[in-house]
Amino acid sequence: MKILVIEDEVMVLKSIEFKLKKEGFDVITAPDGKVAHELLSKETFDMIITDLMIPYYSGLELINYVRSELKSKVPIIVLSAMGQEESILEAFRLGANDYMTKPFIPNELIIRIRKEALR
Amino acid sequence: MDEVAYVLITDDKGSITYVNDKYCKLTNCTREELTGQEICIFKSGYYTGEFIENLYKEIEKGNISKNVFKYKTKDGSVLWLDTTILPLSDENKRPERFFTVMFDITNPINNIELKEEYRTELSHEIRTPLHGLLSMVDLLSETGLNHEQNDYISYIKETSTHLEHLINDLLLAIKIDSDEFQFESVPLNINHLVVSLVELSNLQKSIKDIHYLFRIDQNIPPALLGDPIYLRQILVNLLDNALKGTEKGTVLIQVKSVEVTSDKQTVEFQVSATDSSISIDKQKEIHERLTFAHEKSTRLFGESGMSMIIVKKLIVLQKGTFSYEIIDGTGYVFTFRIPYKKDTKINEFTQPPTVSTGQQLTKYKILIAEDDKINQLIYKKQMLKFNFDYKLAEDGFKTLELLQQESFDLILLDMQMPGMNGDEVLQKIRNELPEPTRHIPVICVSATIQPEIINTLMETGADAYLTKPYKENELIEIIEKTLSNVSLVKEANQPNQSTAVNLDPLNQFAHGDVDFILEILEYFRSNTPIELESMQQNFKTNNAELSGQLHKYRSQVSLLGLDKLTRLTLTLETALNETNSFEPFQNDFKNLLVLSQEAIVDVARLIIKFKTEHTL
Repeated sequence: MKILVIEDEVMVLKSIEFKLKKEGFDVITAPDGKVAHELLSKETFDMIITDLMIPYYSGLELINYVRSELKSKVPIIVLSAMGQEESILEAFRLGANDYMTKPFIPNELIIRIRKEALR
Repeated sequence: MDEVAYVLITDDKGSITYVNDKYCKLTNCTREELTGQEICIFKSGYYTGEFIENLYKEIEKGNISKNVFKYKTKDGSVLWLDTTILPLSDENKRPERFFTVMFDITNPINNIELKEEYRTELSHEIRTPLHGLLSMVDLLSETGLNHEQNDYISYIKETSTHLEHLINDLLLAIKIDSDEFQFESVPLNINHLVVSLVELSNLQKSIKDIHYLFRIDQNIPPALLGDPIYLRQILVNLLDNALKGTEKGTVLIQVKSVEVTSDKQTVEFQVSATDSSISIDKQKEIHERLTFAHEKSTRLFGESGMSMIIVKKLIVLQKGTFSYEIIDGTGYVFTFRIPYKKDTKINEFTQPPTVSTGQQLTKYKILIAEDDKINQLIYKKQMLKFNFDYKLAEDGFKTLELLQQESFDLILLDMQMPGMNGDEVLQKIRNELPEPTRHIPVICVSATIQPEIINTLMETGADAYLTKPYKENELIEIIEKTLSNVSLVKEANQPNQSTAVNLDPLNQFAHGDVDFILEILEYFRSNTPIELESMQQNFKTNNAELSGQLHKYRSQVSLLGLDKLTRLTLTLETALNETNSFEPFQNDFKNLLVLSQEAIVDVARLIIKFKTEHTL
């Protein structure tokens, strides 16, 4: 399964990448909205995990791009920080499937990925 | 002069009698309109009547007045005018006319502000690629190079590290010189700061055979008000210099409280370096270098004169004083004093670290100098109870002998012993024993309560004084206190180092993969100083940007289990999002910087630990 992880904080991005690879997933990373946008326009993914606050395009804009322009139904899991409840609601309105609040338990992310993949 | 300056002449009443064309243009009036008027700058509204009166008083005495005045033109632009008023006297030496020349220096003043903006940008722009360079060299050196290539790489490393230091020094020097540079007055825990610094230097000193010691006066309160960042800078520069100049020997930092008033506390810091391996030739060379240092007054040991200029500036700007002294051609002592304000309320984040009784202390080895058999028995019982390692010496000679044979962490020294008195023993320890033993912490024990005697002992070099009879917990307390304030820091192998970093959260991702943990720690160590610097620049100027940076930073510190720092970051982040002011958060922000510095030290220590364990 090929997963795109979008997160601008390097340490967090590396940690998620490490964990997912260990779980046997194929992981592509994007450190900002621009890189993510480019990747999304060229490749298809089986799952997208995205932070909301990222440079260039926000997480919300990317979700909108995937759903409205690419017309893709790829599962999207949103990573948010405390205090971003309104953005999470907006993410769901735009078509996100699930969310996790940082800091999160890595194993829980794996469970949610597997759950989304089964649908 | 008419071309470049505004020129006018006024009579003894201050009314204009002559103006040049340039001045007419400035005020947008004709010569006729201006005649009989007052000089425009005095009507600008920027200056009080009192100020102008004083100025008149001066020039009426016949003195030349030189000032820079602010002036707003009719179209609203602000000018800065470098103004000279020259009184022209009559035959009775009474000024009858005043000749005024004004130069427009507005642009240079605006340029200063530009320079500041430029500096901020420059600092970031230079450091980022340099950091990239250093990281790449690190990576490259681990790719299996041949012998020759390794030599070249280590040369590149050395040179670029040197370059990095120079750039940091240069940027700092520019910063100190800038108009807006000022010191913070926030709670400052000197004990904490010095300890963390010595630990860091211990990690850096690598292969050299240097004993690192520090000694902190117990009378320094845990919280004074001052600038932790720049105190740190001063000490780092001095330690760097000491390390560069010493191959084998001792570097000692001593911190003493010197003058205390009701609201101020002056603290004296002493950094001394002695090199025991110095040959006679080398002594000569060092002596020449130090003489040169006196002449130029910028160079001490070390290569970078810049870092000493910075040290001196930082001390003097904080109303401090400094001096230095050569010891027998083998080393030197640099002493400086800074007056700090006393802090009336102690903040959560500046509480001193407490040493817990019991477990932590088990590793210490104590030498007990006591002749009385009964007292010896009591000591034995107490040492066993608190799980200290100990040895007994029944007189002064035995004490000195044991000190030269074994290494101890502390001495409990009885003052009344046969043969050689305690104060004599103390004097011999401090003056005659080899380094580093001569700096061992000493607690004097005696039945005397005469203040003069106690004072003399403290001056001779005792670290604490215990009066007999004492209660058991008093003994333990004074041992703990002395050990935590005056600590012989051995090589970076002190067990049970309590560390603020908790790797559990990261390990949930890493599952014990040391390489991965190391990668993340290395990233944090090398990247965080740059991020903090950038945050510091945004503080006060760009709350929105800073809040974003804090947001990212919070993910990092929470990944390293730095709970206090995570909480503080969240508080600041939320606060800055909700308001445009920064004043109320000044202390919190400073605390964030201090805690972060400590976290970097912790992380550096963990990296070393992992690297050594990993290769075993």
